[in-house]
Parts: sequence; structure tokens; C-alpha cells
Amino acid sequence: MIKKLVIASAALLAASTASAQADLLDTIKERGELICGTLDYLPGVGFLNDKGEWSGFDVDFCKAAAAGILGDAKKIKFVSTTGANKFPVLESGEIDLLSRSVTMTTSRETTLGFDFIGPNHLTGQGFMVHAETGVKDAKALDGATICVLSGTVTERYLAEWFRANGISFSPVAAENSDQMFSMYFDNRCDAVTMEPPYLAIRRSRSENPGGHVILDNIIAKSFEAPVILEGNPKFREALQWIHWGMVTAEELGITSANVDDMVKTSQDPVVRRFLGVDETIGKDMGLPNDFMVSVIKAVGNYGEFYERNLGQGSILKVSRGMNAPFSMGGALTAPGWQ
Amino acid sequence: MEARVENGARRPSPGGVTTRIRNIVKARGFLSQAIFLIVVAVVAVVVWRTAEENLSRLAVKSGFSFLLNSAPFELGDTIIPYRAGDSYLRAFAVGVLNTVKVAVLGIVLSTFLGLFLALGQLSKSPALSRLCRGYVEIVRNVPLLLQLIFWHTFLTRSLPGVRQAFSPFDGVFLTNRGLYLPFPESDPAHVWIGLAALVGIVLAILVVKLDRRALFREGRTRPTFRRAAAALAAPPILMFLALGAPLTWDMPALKGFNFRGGMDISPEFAAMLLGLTVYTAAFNAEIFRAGIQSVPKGQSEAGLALGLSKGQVMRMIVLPLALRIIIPPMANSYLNLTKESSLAVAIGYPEVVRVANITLAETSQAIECITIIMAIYLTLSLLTAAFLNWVNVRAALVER
Repeated sequence: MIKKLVIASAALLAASTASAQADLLDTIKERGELICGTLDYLPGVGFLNDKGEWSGFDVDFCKAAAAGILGDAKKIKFVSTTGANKFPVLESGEIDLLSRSVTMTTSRETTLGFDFIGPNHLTGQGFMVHAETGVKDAKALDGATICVLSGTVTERYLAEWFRANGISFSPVAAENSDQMFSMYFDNRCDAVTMEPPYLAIRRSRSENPGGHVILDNIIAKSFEAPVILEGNPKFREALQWIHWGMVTAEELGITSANVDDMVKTSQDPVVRRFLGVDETIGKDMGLPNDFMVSVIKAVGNYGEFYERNLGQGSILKVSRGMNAPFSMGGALTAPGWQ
Repeated sequence: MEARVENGARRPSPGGVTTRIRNIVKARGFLSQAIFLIVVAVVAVVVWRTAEENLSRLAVKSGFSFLLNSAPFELGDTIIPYRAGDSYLRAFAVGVLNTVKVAVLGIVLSTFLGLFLALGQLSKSPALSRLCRGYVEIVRNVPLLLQLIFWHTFLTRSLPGVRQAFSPFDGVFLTNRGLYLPFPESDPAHVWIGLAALVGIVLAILVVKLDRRALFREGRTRPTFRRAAAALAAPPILMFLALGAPLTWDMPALKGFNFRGGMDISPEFAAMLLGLTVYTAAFNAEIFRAGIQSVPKGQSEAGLALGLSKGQVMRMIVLPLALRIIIPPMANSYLNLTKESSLAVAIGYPEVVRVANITLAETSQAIECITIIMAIYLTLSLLTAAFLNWVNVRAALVER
């Protein structure tokens, strides 16, 4: 019995060291395909339409990764995941990358054996109000009636934020989000609280999308990030720099429309280094030297990527808020490209 | 001593085989009960220890000390003042009071509506009796949860918004966030009026007793109801006028997002009360009807023959007799109503289950929260049952 256990653990150890040697980046390049876990039911976030086309913020990060690593955004196999199975399919190695609006938290990063990329979507608990109230800032919601999902942390954050700001509200608790939004749209509540993209999805489906305003206030953080398994340093670096690259491209003014011209005509050494015209940054990472050109052609810079899926170019129309480079008033940063 | 000897002499075998057998049977009975108790105790200990072990493994705190911690959530509809930051204990008190409020009002209203429906079904008018019959058949066959959701959706969807409030009278506003009514502002003089009202209650009881005595001793009937009502109402009204009518109304007014001031009835509470009343009344109607129909026809015929009016026959003969049959199933109905108030969680009325759910989400102390709910419902049910048993005994005592 003990012998068997020893053998089994030795085999496991061998297997794990073997997988540690074969970085997922090499496995993916060998396979010629990225297997990306995402979601298929939330337009703007992750959606599979009736023609079999995938779209959305989380889907586009998969495309960016495939473009950067394999030079072709079409070399992807998408796997639909659910809230319950998202971590098991990643742990079992069924998918390479989980891009599914997973909230990055201390315990998930440090105790579950995952690495988080980015975070690439900075959101949190926000508010949607009826436009007729004229409210622009959540601090003006003193005395308002607010619809909230019963038994979730949003109830706590809501009460704590109002207390911290010395204002009051009266809650209407809903059992599920359908009921909550139906009460809000029936004007049972002045405001409804949830993450802005989800508020935006409901707003886009409402009778009068123009009659509702999503406030910029974020009263509790939820920073979302793509996730991979720990122990794949090259893969992690590639994805992290693809994310930073998209932010950098926006800062440098490089878009999917002008990237080809930039490659040909730009004399700026920073741009030339970034696009792989000069030096060998990409090659040193184990990627094509012009990997950022493929990424930008596939999904655009971070601004295009955001606006197309969640922002003004989408049905959701979520304002960018923190999701813009620091130099443009947001909270996203990217290290220097040297 | 003598008796035993005599007893033994009569039996064929004086050593008492039967006694021995009886002892064996007794011992066996005792043994089996002891074994049963031991098994129960072992199971209880095992369950307790497993739970304890698992809880400590999950690093979940146990015990009820969390009740004194501050609760980080708001509740909305509250009878006693409550704000986020007060203790969980206070939050539970708010929940219990809300449960009691809806249950007591529901019991009273569903009883009256049920009685009306029963009398309607028994009436000679075909239209009225069919209408009441139809009500009972439709209402009792639709699940309560659906009815609650129906009422809640109906109220929030069909009533006007706050800014388009419907105001039939000055200071009365009907909106989909509730009904807002003027409420008398508290005044020190109100204590005296309250005391006067107590005097009125005592007077009314006295009047009833005196009239009853007059009926039995002298055979005279007096308009008891009117006399009692006058005795009840006169003292507080006179006190009110004597103190110079100290009454100012706190009028609800639209301030910011909502109406403030006065008193308000939320759509969640209204939906809950409507749903429970309408649903339970259908069952209560059947209980009343069964009770009334179980009284032999001869009783009411005898009453009519004595020259009592139909109303008097119903009030003085049929209902008292029917009451003995009505009370036990009625107790069940009241207990059901109280327990069914827990469905309020589906429409967000902050009764005790909602408080327990959100406390559970905050503290993860599931066993404690569920124990609290069970203890609260058990207490409420036992109190209701005790009250109705008392009523039942009083109704049954009349029997000779």
C-alpha cells in the first residue's frame, strides 16, 4: 500500500516537473491553436451568435492572445464555461486560458494555483438611475430607494458606502436579478446597484435605453482578469505584455487603422521598437518579433477593444471610467517598452 | 395485605406467573425504550461532533455571540428604528416584528373574509353563493407563492410612480412605492387618551356582562352591541375633547426621491397581507361552511320557532354550536398562515427569514441562523396554538 503511494506520488511529481518544463507557450505553438475558455451568453462580454461567431470583451482577449502568439486570431478553439466549471476546466488543462471576467482576489491568486493577467477590466459595484432624477453622482442619492440583490455582498457594500458618506437610503431586496431589474424598470426603485457592464446589458434590453444613466461611482472594486495555471512563466509573460501592449498602443496613438502605415513610416524609435521594426523584443520573448502588429490588427488598441465591446461602439455604452491609460485619465498603466 | 392473600388464593398458581410475565413485559418495554433513547443520543452526538469538526475545519465561527456584532445591511420596512450598524439581534427583532405584524393582521382579515365567504356560499341568492363558491375554488387552487408574486407585480406595475402619485384626498398618496397617509404627531396628551381608552374597554366588558345577567335573570334583551360600542368609544372621545383636541397631523410630502413623513404601507407589505388574506380566507371559508352546515337544521328551526330573527339564530345558536367544530381546523389554518409568511422572502418583505438569509450570507453561521428561524417559528406557532386551545376549551365548556 505504502509502496503504491510512493510510486504514485513519484509519478505525479515527474508529471508535474515535466509539465513545468514544457511551458504552455511552447505547447500552444506546437499545437498551432489556442484553447480559450470564455462565456457565450453575455453580449459585449462573451457571446456566441446564431451564425457561430464569437464576440465580446473576453472573447477578444482570446483573439489578441492567439494573434500575438500564433500570428493569427483565427487559430482558436473556444470553450464555453459556466460559473461553476470555469476553474475545474482550467485546472484539468482542458483550456489554456480562461478569459471570463474572473474577479481577481488575493486568495484566488495566492492559494488556488492561478496566475492572473492584467487585470484588464477595472470595474466594481455601480449604480444605474432613472435619467429623469437628474442624478449624476451617487452621493446625490440621499433618501433614495435602491433595488439590491438579496443575500449578496452588494447589500453590504451598499449599506457601508451610504454609511461612510453619511447619507441614507431604503433598500428593496430582490430574490434574483430578473426580479430586481423588473422592479427598477417599474420605478419601484430610484436606482439599482450591480457591476456597470451588467447594468448596461439590462439597459440595452430595456424599452427606453436612453432613460437610464449608469453613474461613474464605483463603490466596491471588482478587477477582472484573464487567468492561467501557475508554472508557465513564458505564457504568462506573453499574455501580460500583450495586455500592456494594447494599453501602450493607445498611448502611442497606434490603432488597427494606422498600424500598417506606422510600421512603414514611423521614425519614432519607441514606436519602431514597439512594433518590432527595430530590435528583437518579440523574438526574445519566444514570439514573432512583430507580435503587437498582429494583436492590433486583430482587436485594435485597448481603447478600440473597450469601446467596440463595452463602450460607445457597443450596445452597452458603458463609459470608460478607470479603463483608460493613466495618461488619459484612467487607471490602466503599462511599463516602458524596452 | 389481606386483599393480596385473597387475591392470590383465587389464582390457580399462587407465586404469580402473571405478575412475573407482567414484569418481563415491563422490563422488555423499558429495555426497548432505553435502547431507543441511547440510539437517539448517539446519533445526536455524532451529528453534533461531525458538524463541530467540519465547522472548525472550515474555520467557521460557531455560537450566538455574532448576534451582538453590528449588522452591515439595511432592511427597509421597520417597526422599531433600525439602521445598518445596529446589532444583528436588533435586525432579528425587526424581522420577528414584521412577521408578527403580517401574521396577526392576516389572521384577523382572513377570518372575517372567510366568514363572509362562507355565509355568502350558504345564502339563498344564487349569484352571491356562486360568486363566493367560485372565489374559493379559484383562490385555493393557485399556489400561494404565485399569488404573492402576482400581487407584488400588480402593485408595483399598475400603480403610478412617485412623481405621478395619485392623491384622492389631501395628504393621501398612492404610488407604486407605497400608500402614504397622514399620521397623528405624538403629543403628551395622548397618554391620557390611551388611559381613557382602557377605561372604555373595561366599561364595555362591564356592559356586556350586565346585559347578559339581565338576559338570564329577567329575560330582557338589550341592544348590547350599541351600548358596548358607546361605552368603548365615549371615554377616549370625551378625554380628547376635554384636553382641547390635541391633534396635529404629520403629513407626507414629496422630498427628494420619496415621500417623507406620515405613515406608509410598502407594496411588499401590502402584497404580503393581500396574498395571505385572500389565500387563507378561501380555506377559512370552507372551515366556517363545514362548521355551520354541521349544526343540525332542527336547532335553527327551533330558534326560528321561538321567534328569534334569522340574524339572532345565526349569532346566538348556530355560530356558537358551529364554533366547536370550527376552532381546531381554524387553529391549523392560523398556524399555516404564520408559517407561510416566510414566503415573503420572494418579494423582499423584510420578515425574519429575509433577515436570517442575509445574516447567513454575512456571517456564514448557517446552523445558528437556521436554529434561530426554527426557534422563532416554533415559538410563534406554540403561542398561537396555546391561544386557540384556550379559546377551544372555553367554547367546549358550554357542553353539558
